[in-house]
Amino acid sequence: MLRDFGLLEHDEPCARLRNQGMILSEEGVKMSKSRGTQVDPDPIVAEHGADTMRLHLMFLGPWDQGGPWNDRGLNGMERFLRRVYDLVRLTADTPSRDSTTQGADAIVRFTHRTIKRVTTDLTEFQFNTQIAAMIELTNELMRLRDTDLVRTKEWRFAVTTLVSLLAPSAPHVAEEMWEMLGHEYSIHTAEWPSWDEALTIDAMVEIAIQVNGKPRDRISVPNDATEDAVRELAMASERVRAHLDGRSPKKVIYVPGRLINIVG
Amino acid sequence: MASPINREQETGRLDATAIDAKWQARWAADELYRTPDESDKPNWYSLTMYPYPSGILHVGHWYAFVAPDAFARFKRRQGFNVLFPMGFDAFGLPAENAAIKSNVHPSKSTYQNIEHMRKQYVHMGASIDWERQVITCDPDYYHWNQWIFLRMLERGLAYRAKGSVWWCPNDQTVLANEQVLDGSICERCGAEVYKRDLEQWYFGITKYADELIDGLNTVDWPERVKTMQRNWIGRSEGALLVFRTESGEPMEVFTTRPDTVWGATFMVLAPEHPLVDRLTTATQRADVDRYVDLARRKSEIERMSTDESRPKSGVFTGAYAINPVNDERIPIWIADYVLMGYGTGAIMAVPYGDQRDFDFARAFGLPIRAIIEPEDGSPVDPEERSEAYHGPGTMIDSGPFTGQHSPEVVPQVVTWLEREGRGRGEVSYRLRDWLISRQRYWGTPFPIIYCQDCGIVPVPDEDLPVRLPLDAEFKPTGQSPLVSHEAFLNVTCPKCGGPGRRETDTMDTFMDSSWYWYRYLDPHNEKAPFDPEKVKD
Repeated sequence: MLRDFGLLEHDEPCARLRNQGMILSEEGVKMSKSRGTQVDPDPIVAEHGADTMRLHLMFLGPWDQGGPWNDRGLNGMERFLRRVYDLVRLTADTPSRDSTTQGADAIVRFTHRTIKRVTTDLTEFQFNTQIAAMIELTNELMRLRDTDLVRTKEWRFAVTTLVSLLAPSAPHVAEEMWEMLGHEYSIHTAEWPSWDEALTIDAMVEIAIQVNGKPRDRISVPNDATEDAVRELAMASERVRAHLDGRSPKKVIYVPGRLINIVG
Repeated sequence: MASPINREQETGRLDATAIDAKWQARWAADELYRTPDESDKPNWYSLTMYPYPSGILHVGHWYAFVAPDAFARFKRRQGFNVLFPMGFDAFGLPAENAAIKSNVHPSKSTYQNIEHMRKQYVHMGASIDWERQVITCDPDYYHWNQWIFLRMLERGLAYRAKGSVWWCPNDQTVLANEQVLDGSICERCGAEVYKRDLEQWYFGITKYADELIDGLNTVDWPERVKTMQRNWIGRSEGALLVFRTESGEPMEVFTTRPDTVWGATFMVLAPEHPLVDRLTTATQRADVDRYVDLARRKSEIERMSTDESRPKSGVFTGAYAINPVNDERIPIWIADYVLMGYGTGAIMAVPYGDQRDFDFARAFGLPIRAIIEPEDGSPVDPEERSEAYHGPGTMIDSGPFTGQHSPEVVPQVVTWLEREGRGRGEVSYRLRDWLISRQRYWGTPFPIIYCQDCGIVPVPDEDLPVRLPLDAEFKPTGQSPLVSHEAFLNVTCPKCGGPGRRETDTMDTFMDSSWYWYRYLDPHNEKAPFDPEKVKD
């Protein structure tokens, strides 16, 4: 109608529509005042802060389906934020330098994979899975926080990227962490991270070695290794040689990227 | 007082509230989330529905909002000039009912609620441009509701008509079909509602029905929402046939199966059909009056029920019509399973092909004629059938179309009807025009003046906005509170200068909600709802 009055040029104002689901009570049914299962956001925010609330609401289910509120989940998100904050403080306190520490390449790849997942998920309104991806990166960094990796540029890249990806979901704490890392205000106007597709795959892959169908060893090989190269490496394993007991292999079954079974 | 560092060390937890406050203050001071009209970056408009200012944001508001806020922040960093606005749907029944309970004027409570909720959005970490806030009860906003109404009136898209409308005795107001649940329950307060005749303002939205359906093919929306919209509009293609009564009165009938007209052995009118009164013969008068009165008490859902235990009810008018394709004389009945709202309120009954018509014919001893050879093995002879036949088949006893296959033959039947002057192709809709009048106070006044000499007079553009007086008595008395407000009511007619009275109805708040997202783009415009240049791209 407004188009026909000459005020608009388009026909349909809304090119893309997404509907949210419903938040339910902890029992999984609609929240009810009479049953006392309504959740009041204000005291929760006063206690836990806005970002924990934001993360919990986005994480408890696919956004278009909703899900039940749960206090454990809320506390879980607060602990997640705390872990990220601790990683940032560690990073801020640790000067970094170039090095070829083992594991540096792997953490870079892990980070690029995370950038890709979070970006794709946010674009598709999959708010819960983008948080899952950031939790995984966080857990990986926690696992490595007592190693030399912490002193590398690659580590700093991973932590900085984590903060950057977290900002839309946890804007206050992310802004604080961005400042702690010494970056220019504001994280919310900083360019969104991009990823290198080639870096989203693992350079190395683990192969299980079996002798006559029984698992005997594991090796790490480049992910583009040929069958011959993998076989050679497998045959070099002491344990494999021990179980073959001098016999030569009759047959080799190779599943690329997964396992090699030496029959003999 | 514990400092943030101490608290952190004591509890091992982040002092999130201190962090929240620090950055909210900084963002506000820097106006970080302002969206310029012009930018080198590509524009991206992300709209989340605006809330009723009920007073507090509850967890459902949070859930609906935080994800879109994260998305807006994400898009900004991807290099878009993001518009992520917020406002308040401030008029309407909820605000008025809440005000009645707490004895505080809707204007006062509404603005207080808005201020509180705005702060709550800020505490969420919302990245909203508050300079573009829209509040629908501001005269600066509803001025343009009135302006749009006048443009619609000029084009015949807004009109006044008498209609049978739903009345809620508790809220003391008229409701649109969409606001009545389960046949006869008020969506807002749960009271039982009934039908009443009133002169009302309507918007001719049905003129846009086809465009709206076609538009669904151009948008990326969830499929179930599109289906809901298609069903709501309910477009169906068929034909319009004219049956004449013996006395020569024409009765228009809409049907999606014009190929079955050779099987029409009687006609049925809705109890509210305008011809009922004229057609009913003297001997049938008493029975018909009683039946019509009973039917008006029932809801549409009850009347449309296919529940077999519900007895078929109807009454003969005493009059006859002529079937236009074979000149047969067929009786005219009245039954409540025919609704006035769909099609023309009159149907040609084809008991062989329609189950309700079949049951009706059996119940009242009316003839059933076979017009199709069934392809499912069931008997052709109506005497041997226990139910109607809906499927495809070769037509029999169907004039020039005997021997042809139905339903593929329908378009040819329509062509034949048009050529013979007995009917034409036609489209029908479930959608009805929108009833926009409300007999409440807290809404946009209609910019209309009633003058004894000039009739219905629109308020001139330069006299807008017609302001809602803030000193009106808003307790429900059975009438619109504006009816008793003399200062508001009495006005001189803009055309002749004689005494006039303002329209006392106010607009349904869907008027506010139907264009507010454009106002965010140009919220301070004093000359127009918005500048078209600002809406482009």
